Amino acid sequence: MRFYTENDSEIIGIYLAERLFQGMTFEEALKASLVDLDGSFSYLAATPDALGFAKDPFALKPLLVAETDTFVALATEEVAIRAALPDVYDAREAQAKEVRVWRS
Amino acid sequence: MAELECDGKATRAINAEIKKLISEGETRVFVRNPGARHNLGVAILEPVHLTFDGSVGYYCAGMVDGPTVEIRGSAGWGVAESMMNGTVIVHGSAGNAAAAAIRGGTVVIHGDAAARAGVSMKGGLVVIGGNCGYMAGFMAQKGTLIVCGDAGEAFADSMYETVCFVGGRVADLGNDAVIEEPDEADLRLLSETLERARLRKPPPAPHNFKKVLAGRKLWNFDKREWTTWREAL
Repeated sequence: MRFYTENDSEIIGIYLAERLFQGMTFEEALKASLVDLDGSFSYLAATPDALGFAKDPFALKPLLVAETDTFVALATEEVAIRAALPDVYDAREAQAKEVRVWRS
Repeated sequence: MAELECDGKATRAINAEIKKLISEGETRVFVRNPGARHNLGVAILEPVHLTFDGSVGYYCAGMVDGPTVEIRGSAGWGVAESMMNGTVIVHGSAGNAAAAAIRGGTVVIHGDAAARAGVSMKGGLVVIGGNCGYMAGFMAQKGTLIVCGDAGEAFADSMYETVCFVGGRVADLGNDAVIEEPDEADLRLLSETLERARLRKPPPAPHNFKKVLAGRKLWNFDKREWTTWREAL
C-alpha cells in the first residue's frame, strides 16, 4: 500500500484498514499496532460494528476508561467524561499495552 | 467544617476559595462536585483536612506540605506529585505517575495505580491497595513503595535506596532490581503500615510480601557490567 500524509493519526487508520483487509480481526489489528507502531499513543478506532482502543507499551499518553452496564466512555481526561455523564461510576487509566474492543 | 461547591466554578476560583478558608482558620474543608477538574488542592502548606467528594483530575494535591487530602473517587495523573509532607488518600484508582518525586508524607491508593507510580520518589511512603502498572518505582531514590496486588512490567527499574514490597505477582523486574526475603524489621513495618492504611480490600499477610530493592549494579559505571548498562540505557 502507498499513500501520502503529514498526519500521524491517519497512518494508524490506514495501518488498521490494511491489517483488516489482510484478514486480521479488529482486536488482532489493534494488538499488532503495539508492535508495529513506534512512538507514544493512545488511540480510539471504530469499525461499523465495533469500538476499540490501544495504548502504547510505555503508557506515555493518557486514556481514561469508564465502563458501566449502560455505557462505555473513553477520553484523555476524566473531567471530559464527568462533564458528559454525571452519574456515579468509576473511571480508570488504561494500562500500558492495553487493547479493548466493544461490539455493538 | 467548611463546605465548598465546585459546580459552575473555574479551578482557579476553587483553589483560591480553599486557600481563603484555610487562611480564615478552617481546619476541615469539604469540596463537593470536584468533577475531575485538574490541579485541585495544589501547594497547600497548612495541616488541614481537605476532602474531595468525587474524582479529581491531573496533579491533585501536588507540591503540598502538611495537609491530609482525601479523594472520594479516582485521581488523574500525578496525584500528590512533589509532596513534601502530609497524607493523600485516594479511595478509587490513580492515573500515571502517582506520588511522583515525593520527598515525604504518605500516599494511600485503595484501588489500582497506572504506570510509573512512585517514579523518582525521594522519600515518604506509597501504599497501593490494588495493582500497579508499568515501571512503578522507576529511578526511585528513597522511601518505601508497597504494592498489595500485582506489579506490572519493569518494576523497580534503576532504583537507588527505595525499598519496595509486593504482595502479589511481579510481571517482570526492571534493570538492577533484585528480590529479597523481608526481615523481621520489614515484617513489622508492613504490619504497622497496612494496619494504619485500612485498605478497602484486605491486603495479603506481611510474610507473603516480596521485598524488591536495587542490586546496586547501576550505581557506579563498571565496564564489567556492560550488558546491564546497555539494557538500562
